[in-house]
Amino acid sequence: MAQAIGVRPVSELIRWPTDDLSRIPLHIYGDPEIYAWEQDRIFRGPTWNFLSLECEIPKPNDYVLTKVGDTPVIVVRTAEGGINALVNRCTHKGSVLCYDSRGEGKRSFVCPYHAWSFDQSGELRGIAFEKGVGGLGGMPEGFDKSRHALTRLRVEVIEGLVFGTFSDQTPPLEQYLGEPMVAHIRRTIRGRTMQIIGRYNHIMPNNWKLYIENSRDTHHPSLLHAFFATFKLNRLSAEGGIRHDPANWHHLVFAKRLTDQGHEEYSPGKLRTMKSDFGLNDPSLIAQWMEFDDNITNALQSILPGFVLQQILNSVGTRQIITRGTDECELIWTVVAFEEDTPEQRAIRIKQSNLVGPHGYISMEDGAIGGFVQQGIKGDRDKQAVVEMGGLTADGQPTRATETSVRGFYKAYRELMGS
Amino acid sequence: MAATDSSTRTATISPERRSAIERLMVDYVHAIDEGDYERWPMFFTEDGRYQVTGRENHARGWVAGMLLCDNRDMMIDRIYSLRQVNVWEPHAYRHVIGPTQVLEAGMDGACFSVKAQTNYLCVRTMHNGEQKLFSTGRYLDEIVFDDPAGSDTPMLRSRLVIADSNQIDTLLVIPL
Repeated sequence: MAQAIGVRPVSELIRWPTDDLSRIPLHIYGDPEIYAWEQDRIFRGPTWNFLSLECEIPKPNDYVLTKVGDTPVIVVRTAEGGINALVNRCTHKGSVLCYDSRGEGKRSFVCPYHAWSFDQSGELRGIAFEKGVGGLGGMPEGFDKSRHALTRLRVEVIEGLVFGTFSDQTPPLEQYLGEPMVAHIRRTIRGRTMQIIGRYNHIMPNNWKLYIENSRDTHHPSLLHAFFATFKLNRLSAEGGIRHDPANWHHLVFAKRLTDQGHEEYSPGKLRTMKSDFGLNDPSLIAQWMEFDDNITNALQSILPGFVLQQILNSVGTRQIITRGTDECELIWTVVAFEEDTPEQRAIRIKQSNLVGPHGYISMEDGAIGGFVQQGIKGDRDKQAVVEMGGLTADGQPTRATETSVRGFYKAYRELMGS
Repeated sequence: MAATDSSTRTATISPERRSAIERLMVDYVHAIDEGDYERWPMFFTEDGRYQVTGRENHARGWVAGMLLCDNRDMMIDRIYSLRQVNVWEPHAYRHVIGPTQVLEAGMDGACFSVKAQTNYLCVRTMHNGEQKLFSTGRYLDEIVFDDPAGSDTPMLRSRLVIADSNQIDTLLVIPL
């Protein structure tokens, strides 16, 4: 237990309105006690959390700071070339050890407060004035430094994506992800060498779960995002689908823009999002090359709890959710190119960064919509959200006109929270 | 632009040109702050470039900034989308800009070109009155005068908005 101290048990805090997965009680988006349990049971529970890209720490002794839920974490490339992840909290008084978001040549971590020093494995190696001064003061004889190591996460890497888990119970990463998720990660990165080309720190005025739901909500894109619908980039009438891992914890939604056959719902005048009069003066924005043999032009892969691997046309990148209390979260967008790209391909990726992030033609609306929900539910914490499109279960479905993946998230949420 | 980037030295231009640049700076922020967004692309040359980035992105050479437009048509598309396509909670900006520091000036082909930087502070006011310090930073500009001799109306060939913070609250739809 790390945060849920002195709070009521989960069973008293959350009452699910139905036995199936079709209702979500609205108070889970604003309750500080539930939030504390989420930190312990989800982020520090048996889950793999995205930490960073391997390319951010290319050399031995490079480090980068990240967070798992609320917990600050150091990710360090060891002198031997491995990757360790350590909680960024001195075991003496609790100060952060590193306060600069990245650095190099970090063979040890020395606390700025009283100079306790830790090695790259998190072992406590030194205490300033451990023996006191002139035989006076200092630590007692029996003080055992080995009992005061930093909390260390297990780390695994897949295709340059670094994940960490606090729990000994979490299965190995590939088993946790499941075969369909592993296959799609490998398909998207394909062993290429990532280079970061941009990062956006997107502060969202909503509970973290509302963004995760949004990333798994497969029928909203062409309804909320006029840009998608109008340019036939991601409509439900294009060939696409949803894949899950066997446990239904993770989810992949994809579309093939060139297969769009149309549907009467998209006729002019029926949906706000179909703008027949909207054409781009500069259509180079949505020019793309067919990067993948499967002809998928839009794919979002959501890995529990807070990671998304994105391919929007040729914009490839990662999204990492950082919790910031009950009513706010941060989404860290990182867009990448690959060393193997031609200059033309790289230029297309750079231009398509206009589609994603807090400024994205499409994704800016995801920043707005979570806030709209958070505002709307303020007075009605006893009510429920209805997630019944496509049925009551969380199975994989050959359509995107469904909320099965949102239900999948809550299936996992309930299992993890024990509620 | 990279060469001028770290420079903080002031170059000299004629008072007429300086005055014309000051007008451009002031017109630009008033057009945006008063919601006359259609004027925004017109401050740029046809091949003009506009990009917002964060200080950290800029320092690390991460080139895929926010709101990246590499010609005026892309800017016009952004404004049309802001008006007609995107869903966002109504809000407006108020920019306060500092004096413009001229970094370099000289002939560039047929144009007189000035590289300059200007600090800005931008407060966002929501439709319900809520106010927030939305962004501070600097404009790193390349400004061109068509008429090599005179002090005709200058235009932006490039405006790189380097926000001090990499964080954006909720969304960035109105250009800075």
